Amino acid sequence: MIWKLVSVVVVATVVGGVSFAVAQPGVTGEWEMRLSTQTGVTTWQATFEQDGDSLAGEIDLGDNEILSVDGTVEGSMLKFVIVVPDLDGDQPINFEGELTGDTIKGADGSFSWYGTGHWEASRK
Amino acid sequence: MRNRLIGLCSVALLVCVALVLSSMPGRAAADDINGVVTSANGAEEGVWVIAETTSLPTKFVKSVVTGDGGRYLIPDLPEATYQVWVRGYGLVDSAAVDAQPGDTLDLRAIVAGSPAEAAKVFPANYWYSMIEPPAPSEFPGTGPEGNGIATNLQHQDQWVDIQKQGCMLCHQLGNRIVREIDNLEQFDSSLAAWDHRVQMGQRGSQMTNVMSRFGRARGLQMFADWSDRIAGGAVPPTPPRPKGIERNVVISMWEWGTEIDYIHDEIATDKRNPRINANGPVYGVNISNDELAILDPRTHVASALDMPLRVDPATVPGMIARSMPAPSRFFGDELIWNDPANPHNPMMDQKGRVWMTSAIRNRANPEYCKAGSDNRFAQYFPLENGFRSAVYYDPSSEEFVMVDTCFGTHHLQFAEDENDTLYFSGGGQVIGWLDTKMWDDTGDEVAAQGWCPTVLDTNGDGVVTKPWNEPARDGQSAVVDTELDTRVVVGSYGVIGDPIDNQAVWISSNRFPGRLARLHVGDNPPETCVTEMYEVPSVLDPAAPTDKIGFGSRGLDIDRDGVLWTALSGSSHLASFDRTKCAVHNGPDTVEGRHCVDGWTLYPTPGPVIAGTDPPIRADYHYYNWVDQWNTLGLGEDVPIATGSNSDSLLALDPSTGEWTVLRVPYPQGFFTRGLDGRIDDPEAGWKGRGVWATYGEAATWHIEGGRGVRPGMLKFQVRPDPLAE
Repeated sequence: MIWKLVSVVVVATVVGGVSFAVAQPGVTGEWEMRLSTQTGVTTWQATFEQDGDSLAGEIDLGDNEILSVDGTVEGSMLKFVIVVPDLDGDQPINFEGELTGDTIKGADGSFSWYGTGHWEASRK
Repeated sequence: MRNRLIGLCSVALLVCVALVLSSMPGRAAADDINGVVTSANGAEEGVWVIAETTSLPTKFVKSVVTGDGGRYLIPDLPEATYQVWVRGYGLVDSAAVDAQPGDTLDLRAIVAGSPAEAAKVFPANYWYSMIEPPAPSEFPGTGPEGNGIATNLQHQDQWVDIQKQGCMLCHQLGNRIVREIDNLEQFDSSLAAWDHRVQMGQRGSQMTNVMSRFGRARGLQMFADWSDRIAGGAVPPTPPRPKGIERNVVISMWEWGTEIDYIHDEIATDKRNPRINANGPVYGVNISNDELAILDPRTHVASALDMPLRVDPATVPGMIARSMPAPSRFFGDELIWNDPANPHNPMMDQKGRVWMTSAIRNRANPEYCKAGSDNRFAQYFPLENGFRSAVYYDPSSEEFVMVDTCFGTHHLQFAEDENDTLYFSGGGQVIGWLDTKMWDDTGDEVAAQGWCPTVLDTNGDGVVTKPWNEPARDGQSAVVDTELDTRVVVGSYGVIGDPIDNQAVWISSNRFPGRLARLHVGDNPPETCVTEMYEVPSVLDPAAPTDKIGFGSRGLDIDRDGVLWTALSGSSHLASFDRTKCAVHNGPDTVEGRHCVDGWTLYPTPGPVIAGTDPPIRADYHYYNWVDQWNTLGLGEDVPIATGSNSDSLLALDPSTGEWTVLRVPYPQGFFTRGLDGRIDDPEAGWKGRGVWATYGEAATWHIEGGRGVRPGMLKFQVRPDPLAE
């Protein structure tokens, strides 16, 4: 009886876990990104599209500047780059972060003209 | 009458004596060194004699070219002890010999023992001509699962444009430190070495991004194959030695800055009046470490002043990253560059003040620039952000003054109008200006500035009116309502006022294939602003004739007749554009800018062709160009000059013949210049009273011959009547 109960619990746990994983939308969706650097807090609007371990999408920097996202997803870890056009040579900005539910905790980094600091994002 | 006759005879006799003396080896004037260069082959004509010294306040180098019979004369040397030696194509460098002004010095040149020995001093473009981009037939790219070429590259020209405007934007390719891999033993292959070297240092993230634009693996393979061929003994074709006027060139060089300073541009005078600042200091902007570099060529003293900001510099991020994907081979993980101000381009006004495009704050604009402001320009086209503003240094007060601009700034040029209007490129979606007369009169930086978006009169009614068609993300209009005008984002890089119409300013765009745009400000901007746009004829235009296909406009200047000149950095042409040849300037057919191919004339620059390019593309790179409107060099008025940024040279064109005069800098190799200007110090002094100035603008100073420890150089080019003129 005890073994039966344990089995049910284990199966329920496994099924529940799988169900939870399937229900996770990954990083796909609309996000608000916040960069905190020596220049203050900068807010961008992001649209991420996850396809397997590939990450695409767009980030709207305001001022009519919308840039493409090119990156990867490994488990809960994200890496992506946006390239800011510039007359002295395009400036790539690299981001790394960890997805937890509806938030992304970004790693410290150097974000070109937007400064050096860290970033985070919340699902909209 | 008799006295007059005697006087004339005396003058004639003196002239004859002077001519005889000047042509006789063994009789150097007190401040010259002269002699003859010979080798096992006999007299060596068209080779350089180089005199260098470190006994002045800053290192000084003067070079001349041998003429008939191998004779040379280095004129006007400051008192010092010099090391004098010979460099030339077909030779190896001779040993240096000590000499002093007044000496006559016959030099023995050494003939190269092999093509490989000779090639060591060939300019970078000759080495770079051996690189092999994918053949035209391989385009369009089919991506990593196909031919490895990025799928957005439809034509070979677009690939080469990345080689030029991606990589050569910052430094020469083909010089020794790039073409050879000194630390190859640390890697499994040359491909792995290239993969690593493009990630090194504070520009590593930029370099590695450029590599990825090719289709990363395919791009790396191209560079690795090139280095492998060179390591295997491949040698480029031999450049021609200087001939004709090229042998009359005298180049003086002073070191300034430090071994880590990237001095982007210089200025010696007011472009509108080259007599301004006669015999005065020349100025340069140290973009990587926020300084105004100053060289006094009379005292040979180089100095520098810190650029100011209005806010704490620690709160302003610079252009150059504060991180690196991989440590530098030379500086490890040390952050050698710190550039909150990031001063980019200097220009001098009629008062001798040095104006610069330089950041003074963060990107977020003051409220008066934004929507909701009562500023009429902000109401017409609000600006949320701007990168760099205007700063000037006044030598008379020795003070900097900062002027905040809503629009970003990059290059700057004064108009020939009564307000001394200063126009700026780099405004992103707008062209901005500062009425410097109003600024001087009032000190009101808000009232003195203005800007306009670039909007084409595509409905052809002669004015620009709202609403207009908005641009798509690539800078071109997506959906054009022919009843409306059309806003375009040209991407302003170069800028120049029009001497024929002082309400007009031109800009150039460096986005493939390149464009020019003309903004006519009118009497009541911003409402009276109207823009025209002219695309460089290219492979994107099926109607473009083959002899007019080019790409990669960057620099921009204009002659006294209003003809534009832009060096096509990608295809290696100097191109002119004559608006008077255009049948149409506005209307619905002008939206792509392909309505005036007749206005364009392309002149291929000299130098070797990159292997496998069709149509042929030369291996040089032209960061900028300039028109010698006032004959400051001595080749005539309105001579267009391109920077030979990958060939250690300035390239002067005679448009009537299509012939080039190559002003080659023989030493130190790595003369990657980003601009030039000319000054007349004394109009009565012949060639000695005038000259053109340019600086080494290599981003990585340690790429210059000599390696780490070498400092950037500031150069003066002069053209004398013959190779022995004193």
